[in-house]
Amino acid sequence: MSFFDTVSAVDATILATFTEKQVTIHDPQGLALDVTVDCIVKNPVFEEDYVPGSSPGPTNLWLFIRIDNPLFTQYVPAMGGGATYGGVDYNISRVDVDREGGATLVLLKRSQPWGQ
Amino acid sequence: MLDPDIILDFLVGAFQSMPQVLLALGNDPTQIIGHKYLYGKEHSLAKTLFESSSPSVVVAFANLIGGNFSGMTVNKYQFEVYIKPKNAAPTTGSPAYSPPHLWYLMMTSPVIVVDPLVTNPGTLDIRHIRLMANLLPPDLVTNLRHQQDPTGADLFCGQIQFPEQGDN
Repeated sequence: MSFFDTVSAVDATILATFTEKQVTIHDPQGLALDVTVDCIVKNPVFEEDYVPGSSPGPTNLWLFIRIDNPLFTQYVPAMGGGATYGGVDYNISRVDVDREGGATLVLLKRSQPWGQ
Repeated sequence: MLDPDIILDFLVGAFQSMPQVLLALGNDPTQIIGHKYLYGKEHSLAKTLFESSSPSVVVAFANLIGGNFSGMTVNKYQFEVYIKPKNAAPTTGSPAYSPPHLWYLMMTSPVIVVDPLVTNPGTLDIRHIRLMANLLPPDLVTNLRHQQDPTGADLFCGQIQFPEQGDN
């Protein structure tokens, strides 16, 4: 692989290497199928008492994903949507997108499971 | 003088006894919690609010206001009620209520749980009932203000204060 091909594959390689658990994104309308993608856990504003991905999990969870992932065909993660990480359901409070297709999902734990 | 922690318990119980309020919180009374300052920095109010999920209500004692209010009131116990809204998505499931509407429900729904020493017809809202013996009905004037949590999400803070009858 050439140097430039290697550089262009950095994001995908890092995501594949450091993904501990994948995140499942839900269609806010509840119509389309869920999409499961690689993600990296980032440090939130404050650290909490629970390990991300454990049960009950932290209330605030920040994840790095590729928002230009080709799996997102019918919808993309957006504010007000939902996601599940480690079996815990979250609301998507904010999506911070960079110029290269990466995005940070700011998640807030739901009191009730997705769909209730 | 009364124990603010005991007033807090009755206030949380009162909110938990309101069916319409519970419906807005997924019929889960554990989503209405009272914060007590038991563990210092290990469990500060800021941390409790940061760790409260959506939707949820956190009730915390804020101020003991002393003064010469009337012929029988020298103490007022002020509580703050923090409301995190429910996400509207998905379109199925229980509906989402705006925090202002939820505050309206909390102030106008009949209260079931009060001190057993107090007469409770079960038809009065929290602004017209005594939660505890030696506690008068709260001031009719309440406050509700908008703020944001550290992640930028909406958070509403309601204030309600209870005058004590006399000074024990």
